[in-house]
Amino acid sequence: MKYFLFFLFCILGFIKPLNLQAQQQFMTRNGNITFDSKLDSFVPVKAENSAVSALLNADDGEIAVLALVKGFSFKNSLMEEHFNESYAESDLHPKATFTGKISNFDIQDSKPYLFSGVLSFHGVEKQLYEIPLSVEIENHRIGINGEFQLVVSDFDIKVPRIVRSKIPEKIYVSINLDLEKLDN
Amino acid sequence: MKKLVVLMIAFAVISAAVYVCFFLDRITPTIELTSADLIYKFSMENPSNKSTLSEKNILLSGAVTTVEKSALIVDKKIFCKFKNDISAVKVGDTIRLLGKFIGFDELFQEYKLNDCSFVNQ
Repeated sequence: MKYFLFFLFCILGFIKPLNLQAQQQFMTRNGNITFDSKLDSFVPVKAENSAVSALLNADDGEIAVLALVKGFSFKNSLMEEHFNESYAESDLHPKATFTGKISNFDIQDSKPYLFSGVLSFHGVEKQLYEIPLSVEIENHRIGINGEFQLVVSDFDIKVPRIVRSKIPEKIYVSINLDLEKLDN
Repeated sequence: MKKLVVLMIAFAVISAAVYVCFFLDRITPTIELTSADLIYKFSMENPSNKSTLSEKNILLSGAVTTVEKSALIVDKKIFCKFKNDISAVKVGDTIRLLGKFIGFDELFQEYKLNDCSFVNQ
């Protein structure tokens, strides 16, 4: 009986704090990520994915973003084919993810925050430090917007010498997430 | 005259062959699936091979379980992102759609179709 009560208290002790801190989670499945070389080439290297998933824990600012590589659509379908087959190799590496944390996140305060974490694409994990993105907090909604730069050679993407001049070195990634509150 | 006919037939045959070789394989084939078929086919795929599902257009039929801004969730598991307006769709409707399979979303445990459009029943 003594042991039983002890166990009961242990279990209650675990359950109670979990119940009290109902986590505030925000999510979207319709996030938008575009990347653009911003070079004046004949055919612009630009693609958009509007089915990006993201999950944010508003209590500690932890965020996970997932974009399926095949979901990036280019204006030029031949470029899309090359991107999937030769550069991003989307059959081998079907997803691009970011898992990280928003520094000093406060759900009451809309302002630019710094995002740090690991971006994984084409099988390469790249640590990103303090990327500034604007965060707009409304009732039951969080909007995350901004732009940052990535270097193509960081992601082990093999570019044949003959087309090297046409493939940009830097890519501008812009992100637009409109997260909704998840009902617990 | 005979020569001309032979020449014309030869030309027709050659152009048909060229068309078949170079253009026909560019047209994406379509497969018709239910949600359960899609999930089963995906589970049977070897991740190190080229995906056979994403090479085809997918004609999917199922019941709508969630309606979002420009997307629907079919049979609770298949997320379909639409190009056109979906405001007329309600939860519980049975729909038929054409889309492109882009992969499995581990964050929400859903299968994703992109560029979807409705197909008449």
